[in-house]
Amino acid sequence: MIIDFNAYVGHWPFRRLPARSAAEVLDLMDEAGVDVAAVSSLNSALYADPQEGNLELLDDVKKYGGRFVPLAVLNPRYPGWDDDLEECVDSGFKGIRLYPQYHNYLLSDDDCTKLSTRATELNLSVSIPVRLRDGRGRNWMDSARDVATLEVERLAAKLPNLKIVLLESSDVVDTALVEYGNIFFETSRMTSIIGGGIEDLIQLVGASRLVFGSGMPLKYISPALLKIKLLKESEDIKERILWRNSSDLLRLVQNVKRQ
Amino acid sequence: MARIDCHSHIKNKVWDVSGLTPESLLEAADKLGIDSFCCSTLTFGMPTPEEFRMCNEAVLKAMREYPSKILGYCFVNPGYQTESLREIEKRVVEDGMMGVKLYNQYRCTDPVVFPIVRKAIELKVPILQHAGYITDPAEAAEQPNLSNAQDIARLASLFPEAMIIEAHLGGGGDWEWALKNLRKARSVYVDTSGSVIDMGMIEKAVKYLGAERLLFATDLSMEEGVGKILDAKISNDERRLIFGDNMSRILGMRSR
Repeated sequence: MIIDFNAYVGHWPFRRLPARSAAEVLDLMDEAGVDVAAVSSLNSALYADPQEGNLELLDDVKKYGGRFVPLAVLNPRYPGWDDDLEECVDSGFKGIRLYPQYHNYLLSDDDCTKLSTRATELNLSVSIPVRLRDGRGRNWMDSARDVATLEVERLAAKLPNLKIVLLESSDVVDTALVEYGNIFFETSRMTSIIGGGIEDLIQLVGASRLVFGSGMPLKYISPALLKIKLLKESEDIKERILWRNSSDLLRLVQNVKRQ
Repeated sequence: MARIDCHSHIKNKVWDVSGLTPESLLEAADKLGIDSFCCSTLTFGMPTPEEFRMCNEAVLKAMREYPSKILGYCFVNPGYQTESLREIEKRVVEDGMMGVKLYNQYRCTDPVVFPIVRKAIELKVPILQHAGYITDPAEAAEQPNLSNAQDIARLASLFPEAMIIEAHLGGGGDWEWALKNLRKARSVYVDTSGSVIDMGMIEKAVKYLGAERLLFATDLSMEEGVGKILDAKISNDERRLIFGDNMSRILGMRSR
C-alpha cells in the first residue's frame, strides 16, 4: 500500500506537464504502484479565487472513488475562505493545502492563524509545499519564495494541535522544526543513501512523523520511491512512511484497491 | 544494462560532502545498480596548481583503491595554462584518468580555455564542463563565469572534434533553454544529473538531442539520478544508451 501525500492535478503555467488531468495522474499512479494520492489543484496557485480550482479538482477526481483524496487550497487573505472551507468539507475534501508563496502571505500572519485555527477545530491537516519548483530555473514571472523554516515554526508553536505536513522539505534535521511534534515531514527531497537524511530524521523524531510523497506530476515518482525502498529500516517503518502515517493524517478508512 | 555515472565526485581536504566516501559511493552503487563512477574533486574560487594537483591526487587515490569502479577526471584551472596542460598530460597518459573537468573559473568561450580543449582532443578524452542557465538573479550572481548551453554550443562550433559534456541538465537552471540551444550542436553530450527531476525532462532531452547524446549521471543526487532515467517514457534501447552504452563508447576512444 502506498499513499502519495504530495501530488497535484492541473496545469502549471510555466511548463507543459506530462500529466494534467486526474485520469493522466491516475495512469502515473498505476505505473508506479501508488494506491492513493492526496491531491490539490495546481491551478489554484495562480487563480485569484482558489476555490474555483478546488471545484475543478473535485469534478475531475470524483469519478475515481478513493484513489484520490482531495485537499482544499485556500487563501486566508482572500474573502470567503471560511465559506469555501465549509463547502469543501461538505463536498468530501479531507485536508487543506496552502501555497503561501503564491498567495502572498506568511504562515505567521493573523489571517493564516485564523484559517489554521479553523482547520484544527475541524481536525484537518494543513500541508504546505516549501516550493513547487526549483528556483534556479524559475520563470521571471514566478518570483515565489521558498517557505522559510521560521514561518513554519511560528505556526506550529502558535497552534500545537494543528497538524502541519511540510512537503518538499529538506535539511530539516538541524532545524528547530524537529522539536515540534505537530510537524510532519514529506520525504521526496531528502536522501536515503549518501548523507542518510531520512535515517537521521527517523533517529531524531521517530518514523511516525514522516510521510511519503513524490511531487507528481511536477516531478518523477521513482526517485521518491527509491528513497523509501532503499532505507535500512524495518518493513514496519517503511509501511508507516509509505502509507500508515498518511492514512492517519487524512483519516482514511483503508479499503482501496487499484482498478 | 551497464550503468556508468559520468558525473560524480569524491571529497578532498577542503571540500567536504556529508556522508561521501569512496565506500559510500560503492554502497550506493550496489543499491542502485551502478557499475562505475567518473569522479572529480574540486576546490572553489581560483585554485592554484598546487590546489588542483591536490584534488587530482585525491581522485587518483580512490582510483587505485577501487580500480574499474572509480574512474577519474583531471580537474584544472585554465588560468594556469602551462601547469594545467602538464597536469592533464600526466594524469591522462601516466595515471589513466579518463577526462578533463572544468568548473566555473572561466566561461568556456574564454580563449584561455582553448589550449585545454586542444589537449583533450589530442588525448581523445571528454571534457565535463560545469554549466547552467540560472534564471534567478541572486543565484546567478554567485557564479559570474558560469558557462551555459549557448557558450558550449559556441565552443563546440570552434572545436567540432572535442567531446564536450554539458554537466547536470537537472542542476543548472532552465533545462528547456539548454536543450533548445544544444539541439544543433551535435557533437555536444549532456549529462542528466542534478537534483531537479521535473517530469518529462528526459523525454524532452531525447526528443531534442537524441538518446545517443545523453549520459546518465547523478552528481551525488543518487536516487534522483537513477529514478529519472527509470521513469522516463523512452524505449529500453534508449535507456541502455543513456545508462551506459554512450559513455562506454566515449571511454573507449581514449588514446592508449
